[in-house]
Amino acid sequence: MPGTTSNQVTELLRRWREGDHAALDSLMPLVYDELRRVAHNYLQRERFDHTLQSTAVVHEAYLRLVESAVEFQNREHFFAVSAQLMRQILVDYARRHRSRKRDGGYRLALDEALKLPSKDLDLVDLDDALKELARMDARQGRIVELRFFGGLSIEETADVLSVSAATVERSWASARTWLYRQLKRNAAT
Amino acid sequence: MTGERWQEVRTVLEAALRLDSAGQSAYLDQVCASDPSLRREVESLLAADKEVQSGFLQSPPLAVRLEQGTRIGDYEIQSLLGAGGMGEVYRARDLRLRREVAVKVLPAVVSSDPERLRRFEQEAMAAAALNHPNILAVHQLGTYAGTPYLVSELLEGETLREQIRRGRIAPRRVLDYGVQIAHGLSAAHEKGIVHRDLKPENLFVTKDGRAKILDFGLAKLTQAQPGSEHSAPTMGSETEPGLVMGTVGYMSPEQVRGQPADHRADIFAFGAILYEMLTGKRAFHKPTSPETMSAILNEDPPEISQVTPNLPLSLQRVVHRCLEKNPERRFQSTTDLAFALEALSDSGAARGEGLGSRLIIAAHSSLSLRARQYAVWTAGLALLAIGFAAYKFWPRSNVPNGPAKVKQISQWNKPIRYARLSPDGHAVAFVSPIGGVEEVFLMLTSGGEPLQLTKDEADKFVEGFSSDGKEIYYRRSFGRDEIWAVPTLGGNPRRVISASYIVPSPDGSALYYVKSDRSEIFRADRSGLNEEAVYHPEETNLDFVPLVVFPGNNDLLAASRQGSSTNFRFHRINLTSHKGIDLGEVSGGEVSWLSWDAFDVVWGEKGKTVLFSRTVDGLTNIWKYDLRQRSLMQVTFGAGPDFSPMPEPGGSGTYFVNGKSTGYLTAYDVHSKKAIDIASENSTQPIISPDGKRVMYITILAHDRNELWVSNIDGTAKVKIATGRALWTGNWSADGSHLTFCETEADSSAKNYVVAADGSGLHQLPSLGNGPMNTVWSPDQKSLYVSGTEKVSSIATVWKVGLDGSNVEKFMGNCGAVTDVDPGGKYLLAMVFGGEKMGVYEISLSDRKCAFLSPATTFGARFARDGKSLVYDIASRSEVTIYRQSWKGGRLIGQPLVALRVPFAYAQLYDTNASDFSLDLSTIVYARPGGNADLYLLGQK
Repeated sequence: MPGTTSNQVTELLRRWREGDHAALDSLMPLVYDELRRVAHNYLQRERFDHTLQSTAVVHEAYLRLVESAVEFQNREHFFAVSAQLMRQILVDYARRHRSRKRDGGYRLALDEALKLPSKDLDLVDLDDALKELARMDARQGRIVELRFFGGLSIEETADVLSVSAATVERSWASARTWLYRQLKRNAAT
Repeated sequence: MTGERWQEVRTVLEAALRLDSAGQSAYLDQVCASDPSLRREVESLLAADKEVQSGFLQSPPLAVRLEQGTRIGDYEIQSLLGAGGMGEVYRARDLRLRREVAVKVLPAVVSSDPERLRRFEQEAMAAAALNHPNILAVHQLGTYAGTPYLVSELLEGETLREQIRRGRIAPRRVLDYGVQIAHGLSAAHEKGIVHRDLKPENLFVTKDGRAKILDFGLAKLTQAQPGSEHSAPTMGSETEPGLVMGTVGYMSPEQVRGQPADHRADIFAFGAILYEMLTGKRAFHKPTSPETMSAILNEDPPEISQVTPNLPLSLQRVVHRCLEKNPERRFQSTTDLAFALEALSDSGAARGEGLGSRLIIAAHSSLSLRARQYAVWTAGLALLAIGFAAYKFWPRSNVPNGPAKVKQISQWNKPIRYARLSPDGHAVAFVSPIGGVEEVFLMLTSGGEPLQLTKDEADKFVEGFSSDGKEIYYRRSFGRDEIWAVPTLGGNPRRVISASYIVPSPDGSALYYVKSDRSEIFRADRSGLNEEAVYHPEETNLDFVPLVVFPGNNDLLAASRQGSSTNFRFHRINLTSHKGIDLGEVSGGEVSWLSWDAFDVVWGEKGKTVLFSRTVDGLTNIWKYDLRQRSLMQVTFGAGPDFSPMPEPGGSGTYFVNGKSTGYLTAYDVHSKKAIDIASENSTQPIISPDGKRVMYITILAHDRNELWVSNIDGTAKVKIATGRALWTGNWSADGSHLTFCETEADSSAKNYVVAADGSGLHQLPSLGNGPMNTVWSPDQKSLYVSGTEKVSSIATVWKVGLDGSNVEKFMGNCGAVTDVDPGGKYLLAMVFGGEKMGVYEISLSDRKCAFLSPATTFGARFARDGKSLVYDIASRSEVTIYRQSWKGGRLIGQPLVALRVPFAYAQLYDTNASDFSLDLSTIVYARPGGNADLYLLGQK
């Protein structure tokens, strides 16, 4: 990655750390290509499908991307960014994948990596529902993002959000229930 | 739905989700009475909740799981146990060894750097190799298709995190887990393995209550550059953009700062975990990570008592000590921490009792002893110290009068001896017996529970603080005298030098001391090297002891005494000219351990007066001596005993110790594990009769008034055999009808006596060498082998003398003090109790040859009754082991075997010979020191 981009990423991360949430949005496009490239490399590995670890792709992509120029405040920042990236990339992928299927189109490299936990789960629908949930309760939205897209445990999520694990657990339970109902309703329509 | 409405809905929903369906209905009746639409919404969601499959959103979309049946090497994946950002754990079957195991698949980032992976393997395997019950057993590390995985034992239970989530944990269980975890950490730390990411998620408690530390090596793996010991939480330019770096909230200040972190970082994290277990709240928890980090650096967590009341102060202190910002102020080793927790755990602290109760309980329930057939005496300063350091009887004990002037500082109520004040006046080091062995403690002059700093088998005597206050010098007496130093705030003791009575120079550059077999005063540099004599006494029959250094560092105040005389003289020794000036005599006092062996002389007015304790008419008080006027003046006048004066550097007064000391003689039955006090006065030197039914012992009424008693082993049928100055038990005749004992004078000259076990027929044997003397009955019971020293500090000589005092002959020289004769009547056992030649020897009666048998550090080797083995006891950390060594015809055969492990420690050489065991190993009799004392501050008028 060219140095300028790396610097740009560093600057955006710095702004994001300092509370500029828009910076993260600007960050995404920069990260995206690299992420895909790393994921693609993973796919080249033999028997990848048995060993790919949840956050591994994102982590590695991220690390490569930001090189040593980035100072993460801590692991919470790292996970938070990772989860958000993961969500964005996967949903984006799913969205495009869905449209290409309609075209009878071709397979993306990432295709093979996506083993959705449930065939019934549509990531695009989930993303929409999640946006709705976040509108009602921003923290619940982040909890789902961290848990589901970031692969974090209850405790890790609690660490990232600086709330108690009990709070995460309660919020997660009601969020899951609500999302399930929401997805079910959308599927019915 | 609006956000506000959703908050209402989810509040009710989350409450309802925790109820059963009947409860839900009743609950909704109650809360939705006025809002039917709320009820409909919640009921709809509750219905959806029933449909939600357990897997819904539970695994990340990109998480490609190992599927059931997947083979990884010898392991077949069965199911997913858990997952988190740092890996996924599966239950698997070890097909080769046919056992269930756990397989943890590590984050791919691990595999991206071979060097880090290698180091991780190294550490994880090193930790695994510890094979410690409190560390997760790692069976294998491997790589599967480029992703590293780790195979470990499969644990059933839950993480500490899960327990804490249910609320705070009962103190008793906290101590239980805490001790286990500390032991596991300690084992790792001893091998140089630091965890660096301890947190409740990494601590597992199995269903049967065993605590296990997980993920050793993982933190290091994800942390720093090769070769760097940094445990940095940030990914600055100095560290690789590694992933995760210690968990905020459990990270130590040094880790937060990105500074080098060692095992003490684990101690900090452990403290934070203890805190959280006890309170249910995180020690450092702020809304954001930077704030949390700031709190770690700058704030102390709320006092535990504010969150969880009624916890023992001592337990809270242990936790807060782990949480000290400066690693130097924390426990310096996990071993020490484990000791502290164990002490609390045994003490009943978990039941809300203080630390102190344990000693009393332990002392009453357990006890024991060992047999010493002889009075040990090498007459060097070392053993003099022990002899007189024995708990002496104080007839009265009153807290000093004058409430306006005297303030009680400590609430220890147990023995305090050899108290010394730190240079800054903030702490007092002292010794107190634990399980019969004197250990070093530290208490703050601001009050609070003393902290135990040492734990091993040797009696210790505090010599003083290093001049910078960072270390406490103490004399460790176990066979030989050595000076050791322990960090004032805890840590591993280090051996400084073989010496006694050490005085550091105020500038910290030199140490002054004496050696047990030399009459000179020596100096060495602080490392113990470059030894040179600074004073050669003209009269070599005097024992010199350095006391304090004069202002200017060019003169040393020393004291001299002849033998065990009650009088002593002060000397000013010029360290340049090596000349001494006599500063006068202190006479008329009564020698006790307070006035000589503790030698608690300190500066009153520097260079002009000294303070020390002195016993007159049975009353021990603090006195002052003016070195220029050569005048003596009494400072305290209470019934005392008042001793160990320590002027407060700020001039606010003088600390001193007040309290009495006593000692018990206790019989421990090995089979029933019951203990009985034979005597409650200061009694020691037990010798059990050959049939194991009787015991003789000495009761110390005063330093110069002792009694010899015989009683049944259970303390009944006591008979007083003799009263004398200083008495020493000797030995029983083979049939138990007669016994020997020894009386020593102030100049150490000894008289030996033979008497019937009922006290009749007392007669004296001819005077031989210096005492105390050991005696062994000849096989025909017609004569005695008597051993004693011919001059101070020499190895004992053995004489043979007829029971009627006839036929005295010098039998053997330089082979130690006799302790036993073999049942076959051909060999004597002899022992050298200290110095280079320490060990067990054998004297052939037929040709009078001395042969070295064993270097065992024991004080009581004897022949078993079958004549085919030797038995002897050896003390080690917190226990005593009795060994049996096969022996035949003057030779040892094979290796010693453990005959009995005594589950507690007792001093083997406390007041010369403080224990005995019966030859059938059924009973142990031992001296158990006790008493009570506390620290006071005597204010200035």
